[in-house]
Amino acid sequence: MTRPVAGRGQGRGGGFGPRGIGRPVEKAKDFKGTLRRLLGYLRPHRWKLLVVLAATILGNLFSILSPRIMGQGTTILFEGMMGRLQGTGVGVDFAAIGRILLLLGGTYLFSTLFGYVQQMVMVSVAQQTVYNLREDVSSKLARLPLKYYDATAHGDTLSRITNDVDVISQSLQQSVIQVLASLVSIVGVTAMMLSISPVLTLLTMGMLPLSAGLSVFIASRSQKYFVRHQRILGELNGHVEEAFTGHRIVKAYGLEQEVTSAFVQVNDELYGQDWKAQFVSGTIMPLIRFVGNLGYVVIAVAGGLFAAQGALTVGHVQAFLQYSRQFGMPITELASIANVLQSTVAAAERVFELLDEEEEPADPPKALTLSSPRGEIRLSGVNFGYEPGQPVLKDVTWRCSRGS
Amino acid sequence: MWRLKQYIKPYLPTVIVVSGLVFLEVMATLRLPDLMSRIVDEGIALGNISLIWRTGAVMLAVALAGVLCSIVGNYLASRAAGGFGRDVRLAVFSRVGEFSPRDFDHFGAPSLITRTTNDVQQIQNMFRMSMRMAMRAPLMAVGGVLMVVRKDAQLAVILLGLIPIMAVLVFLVMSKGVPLFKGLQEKLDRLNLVVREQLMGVRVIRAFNREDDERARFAQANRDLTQTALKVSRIMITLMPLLGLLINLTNIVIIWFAAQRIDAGLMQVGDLMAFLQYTMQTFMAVMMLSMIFVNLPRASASAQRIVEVLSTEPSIQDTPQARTLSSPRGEVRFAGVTFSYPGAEKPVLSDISFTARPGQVTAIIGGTGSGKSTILELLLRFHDPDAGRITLDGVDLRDLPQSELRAQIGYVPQQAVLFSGTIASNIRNGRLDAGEEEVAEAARIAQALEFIAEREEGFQSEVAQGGTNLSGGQKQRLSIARALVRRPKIYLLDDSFSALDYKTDARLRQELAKAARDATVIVVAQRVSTIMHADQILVLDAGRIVGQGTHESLLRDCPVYQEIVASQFGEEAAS
Repeated sequence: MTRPVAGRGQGRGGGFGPRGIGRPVEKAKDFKGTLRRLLGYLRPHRWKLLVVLAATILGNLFSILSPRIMGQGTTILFEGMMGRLQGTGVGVDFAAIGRILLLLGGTYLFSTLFGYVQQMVMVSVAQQTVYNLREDVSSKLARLPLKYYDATAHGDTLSRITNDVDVISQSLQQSVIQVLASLVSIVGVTAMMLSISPVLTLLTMGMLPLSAGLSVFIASRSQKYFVRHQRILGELNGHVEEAFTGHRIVKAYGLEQEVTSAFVQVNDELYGQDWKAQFVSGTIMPLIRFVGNLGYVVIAVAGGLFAAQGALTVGHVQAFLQYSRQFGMPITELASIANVLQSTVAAAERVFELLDEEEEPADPPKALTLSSPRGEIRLSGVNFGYEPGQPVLKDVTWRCSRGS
Repeated sequence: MWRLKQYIKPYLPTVIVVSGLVFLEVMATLRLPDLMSRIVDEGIALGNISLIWRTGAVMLAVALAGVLCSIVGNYLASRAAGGFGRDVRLAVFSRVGEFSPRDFDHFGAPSLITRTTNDVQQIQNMFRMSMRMAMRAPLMAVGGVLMVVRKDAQLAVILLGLIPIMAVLVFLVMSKGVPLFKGLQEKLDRLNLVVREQLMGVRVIRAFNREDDERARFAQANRDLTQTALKVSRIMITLMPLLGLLINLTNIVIIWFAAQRIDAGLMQVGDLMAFLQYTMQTFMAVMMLSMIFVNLPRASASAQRIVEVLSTEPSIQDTPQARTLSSPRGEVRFAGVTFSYPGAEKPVLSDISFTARPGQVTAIIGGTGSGKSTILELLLRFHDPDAGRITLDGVDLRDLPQSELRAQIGYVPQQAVLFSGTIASNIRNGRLDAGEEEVAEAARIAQALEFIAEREEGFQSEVAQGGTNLSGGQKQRLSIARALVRRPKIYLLDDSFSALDYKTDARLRQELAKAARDATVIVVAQRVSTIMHADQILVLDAGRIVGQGTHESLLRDCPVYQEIVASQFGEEAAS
């Protein structure tokens, strides 16, 4: 009753539980337009992406086949066992088992292989894309007028170049594959389940609204707490920053107690939101697991009843148990990817905003060159202001010649 | 982490209860495949329908019990971890509050801020994780193995042989992966740095036509980052599927051997199905365990940074036999004071002696880095002198409680520091019980009434964090008002008028002289014009007093003072 591990989006290493669920999501202002523009960056790689698509489909098909094949093995073993129990003398058909295990090994191998190809190609596409994106931003920065630098916080620009681009890179590398894989899985697994037993399939589908509703319900609660938590955390950080940067004044005026009691207040408030946010978001996984177990029990009982009547083989039940697990996962994953996609597009939008900033006028084409500069400077009737309507220099005429 | 055990202690009962709940949850999880095998071996094989129904009901109950344990455990763990984080955060914050500026500067403000916020968050997360995961994973692994052995001891040998291989492999992946991720972070930081420098230095870059060089520098950092990211991803992409394949192939081997045992009547098919599931669960548990081990160093680095703060004893503490002044007058005397900052080669002040008396203005003048501000900080007992003594009304500062000493002082630093709140609350920080009229009077003397009145909410106008919604001059005036409302015996003014225009400066000085008539006033200044009329002027050069007297006497016989005057007024004034 194991599920094959290979094939589906295993590349991300660490991380427990579905990403994104229950955390607040940023929304883009123009989702469609930004997404289209982001996809434009992928256009040069469309052939590679085609390879990714093919590998994803093939890899998933193989991993979807494997429970079915394993189920056949189980059925043969079961028949062998029944043969012994009934004393017919017919034992386990080892030749058949051997064939099936070889086949199973083959599907595992292929699904791993295709999974490998798909991820390798996708990684190079994703990295190349964000490399280009960063280069674009860099050359843009060189063309921006000083006005931009004065009007924008450095931290904000910096965060667009690093954090936002990083979000895009992560997301391209993982989410694109996951979306594809999840879709393929849903279709493939549904087909397999239907082919085994339409009734059991219907039962499994019946569990879906339950698990989806539960996730949505909790996720929206937990988002609320996370938003509050984030706000209070910001307050606490501000308080700490203020108290520490003003450390000497706090000491000089003996304000230690006031500062500490204010901190205690924010700290307690943070605690209140913190544990609630953690608790609610930490409840999502056990509940999803529970719904999964519920499905497992339902299939075990219903499948057992069918099998006892001979309507299904034991292998079918085993395979079905695996499929019902595989069925729930891509749906939860799609839900969390929807969140990831939201924040990706929001990140992309911020990067594009930077790319769309008004540029400094380029040098005119007929720009002259000085043959032998002497360094004489003359201002005649110059008006200038950083902000419109607030002139700093008014009709300044001034001459500064060499040696003076 | 264990060095923080005193903060874990209050939550120990919770930890024990959570462990118990996790244990029950694991038992429930492990029970399910076992029950499933009964459905197959006794229900399906023997056609026992009612047994299938009954077993199903038991499974349902088990699953429900599991999720209940899990949710309650999660509730308790979240509360305990949150409380633990709150306690440690408060401990760090309070300890920093006790630090003298010397201890404070040893860490630096940004580092202390990170330690109080992010680092505490890190260990809090680790605490919560370890309560649940670190408990769950080994229990699952051990429980899985036990169940497998119970099902079929001989077949279990395969699994037992594979677990160490698996553990080593996972650990290799992780221990190889984590440094790589660290390398990735470094490249990202590098890119960050390049961009930051370009943003800050954009004027210089453009003025000197360095755009192309900077573009090349960025491109280099970008290439490095991309290449490292590719490398990291490729290693992970290669290793992770291999692990998956290993698990799957293990299944095949198990089925092959199980087939023979089933054929021999030593094992049942349901057992095999359960066996396969236990194998899976065991592997997963081992994998999770390795991940925790790999994440441990990061949390332990944070714990280390927190312990560093907590174990730093404040370098300046009140002596137990500290005395109080019955009626302080405010006479300050430095006698042969020498002081050097930790790690500095040369002392910043050498052999400083002077007396500042009530009703007099003592001015300190000298170039940048001559140690002027340090004299004020010594007087506030932010540091203790290496040699010599400083006395207030004849009592060594080290024999006074810090609060008592500072209660006599109104300090106006070079950089005005305000706190978020209102204008009134900032002035009232000088004396918390000051009445409304006193606050208004202080503001009047500090020449702040005018701009306060311009604001809609007057004294109740909001002051943003760091006072960013006020101009430099406004902040300085509020900072002076804060000192005034304290009505101290001693005023320490550290070049406090630099951001004021000439007219405001002059008016403020006039008013201040009246208000501080009976106090000891020590002024640090750069401009001679502002201190010409002081009762006593100390001329500081490289940490030594090179002249002491009135403006007139110094002009006569102090060459350094003559130089300063000459540079500010031109030659004729000095001669």
